[in-house]
Amino acid sequence: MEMRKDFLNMVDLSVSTMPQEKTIRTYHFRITSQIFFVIVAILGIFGIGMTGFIYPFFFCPASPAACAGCPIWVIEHGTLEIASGINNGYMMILYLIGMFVAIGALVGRSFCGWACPVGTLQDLFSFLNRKIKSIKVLSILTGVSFLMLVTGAVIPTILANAKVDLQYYMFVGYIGSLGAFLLALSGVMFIKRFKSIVPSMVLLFVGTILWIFAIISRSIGLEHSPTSSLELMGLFGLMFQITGLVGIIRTILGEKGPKIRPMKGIDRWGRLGKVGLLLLIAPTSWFFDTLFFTDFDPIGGITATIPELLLNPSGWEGNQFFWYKAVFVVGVLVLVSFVDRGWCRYLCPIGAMYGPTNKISISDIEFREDKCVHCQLCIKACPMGINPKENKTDPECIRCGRCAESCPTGAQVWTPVNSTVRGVFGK
Amino acid sequence: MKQKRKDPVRKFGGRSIPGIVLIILIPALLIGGGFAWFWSSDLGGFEEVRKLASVKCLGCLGLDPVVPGFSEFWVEYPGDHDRAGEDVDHSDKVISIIENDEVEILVLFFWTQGCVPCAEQWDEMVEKGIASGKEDGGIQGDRYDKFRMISTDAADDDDGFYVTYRPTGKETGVPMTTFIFQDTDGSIKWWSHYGKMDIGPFMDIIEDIVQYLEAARLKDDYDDISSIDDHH
Ligand code: SF4
Repeated sequence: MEMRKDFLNMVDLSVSTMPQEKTIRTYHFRITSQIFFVIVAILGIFGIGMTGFIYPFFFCPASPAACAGCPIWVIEHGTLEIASGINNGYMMILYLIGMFVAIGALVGRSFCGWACPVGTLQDLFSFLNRKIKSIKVLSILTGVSFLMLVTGAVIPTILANAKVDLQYYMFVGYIGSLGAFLLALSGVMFIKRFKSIVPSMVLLFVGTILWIFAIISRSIGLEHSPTSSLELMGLFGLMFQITGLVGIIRTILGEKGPKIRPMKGIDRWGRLGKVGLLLLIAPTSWFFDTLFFTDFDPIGGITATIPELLLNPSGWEGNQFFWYKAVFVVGVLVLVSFVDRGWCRYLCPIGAMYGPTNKISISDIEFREDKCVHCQLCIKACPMGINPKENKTDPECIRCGRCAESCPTGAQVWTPVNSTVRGVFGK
Repeated sequence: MKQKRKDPVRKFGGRSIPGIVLIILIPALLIGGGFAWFWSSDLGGFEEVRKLASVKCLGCLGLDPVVPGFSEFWVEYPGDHDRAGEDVDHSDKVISIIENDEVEILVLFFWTQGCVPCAEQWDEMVEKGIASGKEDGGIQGDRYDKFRMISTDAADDDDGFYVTYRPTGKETGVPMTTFIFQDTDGSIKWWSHYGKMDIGPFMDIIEDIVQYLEAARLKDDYDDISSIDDHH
């Protein structure tokens, strides 16, 4: 705020004389919408069985509280059915395409910014990354995350032993998962804040200890303790180990800044990764005759595998895909801890599906050139790392509205009907 | 002059589609997309998603359940089941198969589309001559006599076998293998395993059932003879 005021003074404007444009301030709406859609994603907690709906975002149907199918999973199943001559496969694919076209025509890629639980998790990461400055607060976050994780791992086990129906306690598993993710984030933040190699070494050490702990507690016969779950402890161990390694590499390379800003070339080319993934989903399912992407999918790992493991730590063991999945889960968590909306930028095939609809969608973020004072605040605010002034219909824009929120003069405006259409009607 | 590097992701600076095209295109896509969405959901898309999603593919989860190994066959629903102690609703189809003199053991194998552990278990069973054909519509192989296998897509199970024989009554995931036989006293006994079943324990259970039935028959014969002797 201070900076903004300084700037406005500099350009001979003041907040009081600023044009009082009637813009829709989206912040509260967006947060409410994101919370609402997280609840929608896990409606299974309330005993709602599986419906035939498809989530308009990424969420694994194998998740303990899922109530709908995932778009990527639908592409895979549709492909498999078409490959084996089952007509319902076409219907599933058409069902998905119809839904995406209708939503896209209406709101473009807004579901990434306003609804997707994976996006919400990334926003939470960025928020904490930005806000937490002191080591004291960071330590509190670490402690709270650890408590959440322990709650998620221990309470369901106690309830299961007491033969309590887990149906209504599934949310504990999700709290534990969130704790695990925040713990990963805390690790990254420690690396960033302490400009030394020590926190990275500590993380590497703690990660290794977790593995040893799991192996020992299993070998001395603590089968029913969460600590004997190689999968659970190994996954968290891996999380710390990889975070520690990234930290060590960063320190050696000398990059100690608070945030990695991907180099422009890598960033732009990297964004094609998600399109590549999207294009590979159907062919790989057809060729390998399986749900190929889903088998390795890190979002399935985050939204389904980790909550399941927390709900019943000693009830599962990894199958042949588990450790691949674990590596991808950790990779994604580390990526999104370093890069705002890293998953949406580079890897999300659902974002790649929605992207082109930004070109035609009826709602829009509008830029009013005449009001722009070139303060660059919108560029700084954009979590997708694009230039909001240039890219109003860029497939990369998730329509989050942060540029509009940050604009001091109302040059960026979220609008329900885009200016091109309004222009036709002379408004 | 320094040449400008090509940007791999095309920037759409401003909208290049004319407004007049857009006001035709947007309603067309909205109506077309909405109609396709509604129409295809009604014609099977919705039901297909529901069916497929209601069976948890353990392969996709990256996890296998740690389940207790075989300890006993059940007559009623077992202790961990929602309906523990209640009678099992065996379908007429199961009863007619199991009461047939030609069949001693019935195995129901449950799989779902795209499930890797299911396909692996099926392939192993085919390799050992226990099963034959494809997973979809597969039947018994020629390894055992008086043995019947029904391979069922758990997401497309019109007979309701999958729901009936889940060992906890809740969704447990596929693959799942159910062993059913009729004891000499006429009761139907069964046991289900969920998660991929190794071929060794699978064959052990078949051997156990065969030996159990043989012993039970011998005992019955012995009891019959003793009772005749007693009469004499
Ligand atoms: S351009 Fe604006 S609306 Fe689009 S992603 Fe960036 S901040 Fe959000």
